[in-house]
Amino acid sequence: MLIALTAVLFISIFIICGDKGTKSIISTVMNAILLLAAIFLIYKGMSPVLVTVAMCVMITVVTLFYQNEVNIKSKVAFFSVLAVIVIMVPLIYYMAIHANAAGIPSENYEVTDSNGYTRNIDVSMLSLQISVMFIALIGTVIDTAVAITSSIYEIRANSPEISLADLTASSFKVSKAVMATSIHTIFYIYIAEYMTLLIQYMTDYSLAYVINSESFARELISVSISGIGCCLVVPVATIAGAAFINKEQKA
Amino acid sequence: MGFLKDKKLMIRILIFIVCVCAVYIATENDYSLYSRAVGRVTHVTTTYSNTEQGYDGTYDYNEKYYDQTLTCVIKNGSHKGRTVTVTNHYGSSEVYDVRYSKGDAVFIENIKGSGDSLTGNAAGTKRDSLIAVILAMLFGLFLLVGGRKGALTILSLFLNMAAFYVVLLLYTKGINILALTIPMTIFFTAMLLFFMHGKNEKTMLSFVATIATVAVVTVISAIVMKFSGRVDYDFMDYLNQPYEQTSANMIFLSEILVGSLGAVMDVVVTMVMTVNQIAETGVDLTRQDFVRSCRAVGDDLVGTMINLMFFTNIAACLPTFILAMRNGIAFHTVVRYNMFFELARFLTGSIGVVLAIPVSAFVAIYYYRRRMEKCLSR
Repeated sequence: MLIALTAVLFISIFIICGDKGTKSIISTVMNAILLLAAIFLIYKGMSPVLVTVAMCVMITVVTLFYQNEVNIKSKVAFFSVLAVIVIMVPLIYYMAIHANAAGIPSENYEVTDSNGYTRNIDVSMLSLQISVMFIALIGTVIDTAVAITSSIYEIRANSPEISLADLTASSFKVSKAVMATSIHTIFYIYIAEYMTLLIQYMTDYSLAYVINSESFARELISVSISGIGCCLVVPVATIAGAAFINKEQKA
Repeated sequence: MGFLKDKKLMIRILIFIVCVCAVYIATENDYSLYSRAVGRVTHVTTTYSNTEQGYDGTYDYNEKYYDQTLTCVIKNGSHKGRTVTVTNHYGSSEVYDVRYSKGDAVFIENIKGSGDSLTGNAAGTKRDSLIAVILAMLFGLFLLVGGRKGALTILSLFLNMAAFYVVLLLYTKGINILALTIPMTIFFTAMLLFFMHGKNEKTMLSFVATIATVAVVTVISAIVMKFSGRVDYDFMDYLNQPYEQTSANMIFLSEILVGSLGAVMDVVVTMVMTVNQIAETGVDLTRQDFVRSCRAVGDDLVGTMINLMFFTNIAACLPTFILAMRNGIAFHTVVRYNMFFELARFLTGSIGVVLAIPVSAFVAIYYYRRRMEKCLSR
């Protein structure tokens, strides 16, 4: 089934999109390879968080500079993404450590000792959880940052006489719309991902159990981290984008 | 740095911080809401217990186990204010077990003993304050950054959750989940587009294009599913067991439907806005002009959207992946079984993103061309 779906995806990209669509296949494959390399390094015993952060930076480079080419738009987007990740580090650590929500939750019947999984693996599940949050964060933040910087660029290109204050103001208008749609996109993805978990909550557990449970805490924290990253990148990318794009266009 | 001098903004940020702190303090101390005993860990002693070995077929792993003795003060119920000693055993990887630390709020079961020597078992961390605080931060930031649009986003998320809750409730009453998800999707789309863009022709066009694309994606998935053999749901995360093959199929299709919805809508809205912009500014446009601009915009969107689908869907299976590999399960087996559903959702979502481009372009161009012809013939 996966092979058939991959074929459908590739064929539709080839038919519908031009060169850039083909590029997006290549960059997704490159990102997948980076992710696999990261998994392999973690499996070999390297620190999950370090590997993930390095991978996130590389993913950002590939996605922004290979796919969207090196220009002022992708440069501003790159620095906004890095800034947001740095801001989010303490929050991610705080939440992950205090939630005690690493590892495999008891609601996940599929992966248990009794199904033959040994728990003696010597990899910190807490660090893995932190890695998961970083990876989930990065996809959203890149998407939002690119959408914002390219619309600022278009606004500036269409009205060359605009002042910096006006440019920032009208960029914010666009950014807010971008934020709203991005939030909904991740919201639906997560609803789909955890549909089975939510069904299980409905059939088996009480509300007091659910809101204190490991699985719920960790999924909700993950979603919220992505959402917060998405909100934070809006002012960062808008202000930086307006300033730098304006400067570059003047020169 | 003019925005630092903006007094109104500073006040808003201040209110935001105060609100987040207030929520945190309130939910940290809501012990009386629980009927189960809650204790706050005041002191922890950890001693090394033993080392066990894991083996993945090639390498040995040494897992260290520790015993913890926790001193907790009970904060609610009949034992309120008294100290209880709790023991806990954990492995350093914390795969199924957990390490408690000082300051954690812990549910305590089986409280026994008398006088000053109470003992009990730890039954999970109290996590409601973290959930409340992160939601407060998220919603606060929506309002802070998004203003009116942020408020609408919150409202729409709540309505979505409510609708989804109703769907799940009906599902537990025995109604087919796919039959429930389809009207829910239509409702989600209509509501969201209406909230975000108001009642106008762009909303109508986006609605039609979104529903059409999501329908096509679901049909493609259903066909592929039918012709590529039985899907093994044993590894679907969190699925209630035992399950029936057909009902699991329905759940999976519903996941595909909902999972692609957000991304498709995102692309469709951008496309429709572009065509609308071109139709309003340009005069005497041919069909080719429209198609070319639509292609350019679509190409810009596709890359980052597919990336977003990839990371958001795949991220969550990292811990299972590592656990499986350290258990000596071959790489392709992990991809085929443990990651199957994440990958399938990523692929179908991406197909949705790509198909959204021609579908929305076709709908929008058809509409605007017809309107332009009408204007010209008058």
